[in-house]
Amino acid sequence: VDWNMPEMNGLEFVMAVRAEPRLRSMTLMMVTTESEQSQIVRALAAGAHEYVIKPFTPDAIAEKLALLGLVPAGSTS
Amino acid sequence: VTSPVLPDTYDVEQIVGEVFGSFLGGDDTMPIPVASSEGDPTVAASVSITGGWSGHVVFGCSESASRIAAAHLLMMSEDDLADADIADAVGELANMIGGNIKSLLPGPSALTLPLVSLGGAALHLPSSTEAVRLDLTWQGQPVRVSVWASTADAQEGTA
Repeated sequence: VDWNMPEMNGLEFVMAVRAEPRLRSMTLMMVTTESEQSQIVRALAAGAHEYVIKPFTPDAIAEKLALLGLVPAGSTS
Repeated sequence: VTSPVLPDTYDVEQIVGEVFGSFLGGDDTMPIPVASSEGDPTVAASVSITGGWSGHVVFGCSESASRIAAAHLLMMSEDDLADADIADAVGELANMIGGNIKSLLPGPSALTLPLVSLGGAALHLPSSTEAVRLDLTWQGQPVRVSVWASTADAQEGTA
């Protein structure tokens, strides 16, 4: 989920997903240029599982996915 | 009141290098700073920053550069690109570069969605003056990144 999106920003999207019982367990990762500490805290408090600041490398994304248990650790290269 | 310290061309070059290195082909095709580019960019995208510092960040390039970048970013053939794809790609580059420049400026602040011009029309940057300009060459094509400070901020800083 990007932070800057038309119509609904990423934070609003995360809050909307977490408010929907059927989607509450969905894994959400913010991928954004927004790097202010307060924004990271708000996104994680709203229910994002991980927060990645752009630009990123494929390895950085793979590392986050491994932390979330979505891919095996060490499968990045 | 003191003026905020703006990013300089070195800062902008580092950010552009990170973005291009991550998304546009890696270290072999890094943009190289040049003294000045020939003519103004025909494709441009801007994002605005409002808050602790207010102004705009503009990414501009030639039409050829925009097509090469969009093909890399979207992993598509240049032949298959629609204008909307190019606008998405150029807007995303402005978003990434602008967002990282925002992180060097006083906050808190907000970043707008990108405005894109594909046809050579000038982007409207209200009440602002160009504070930083970095011209580069990438894949043999001109690229320019500029930072425009709100004149309200500038007046405040010089008061």
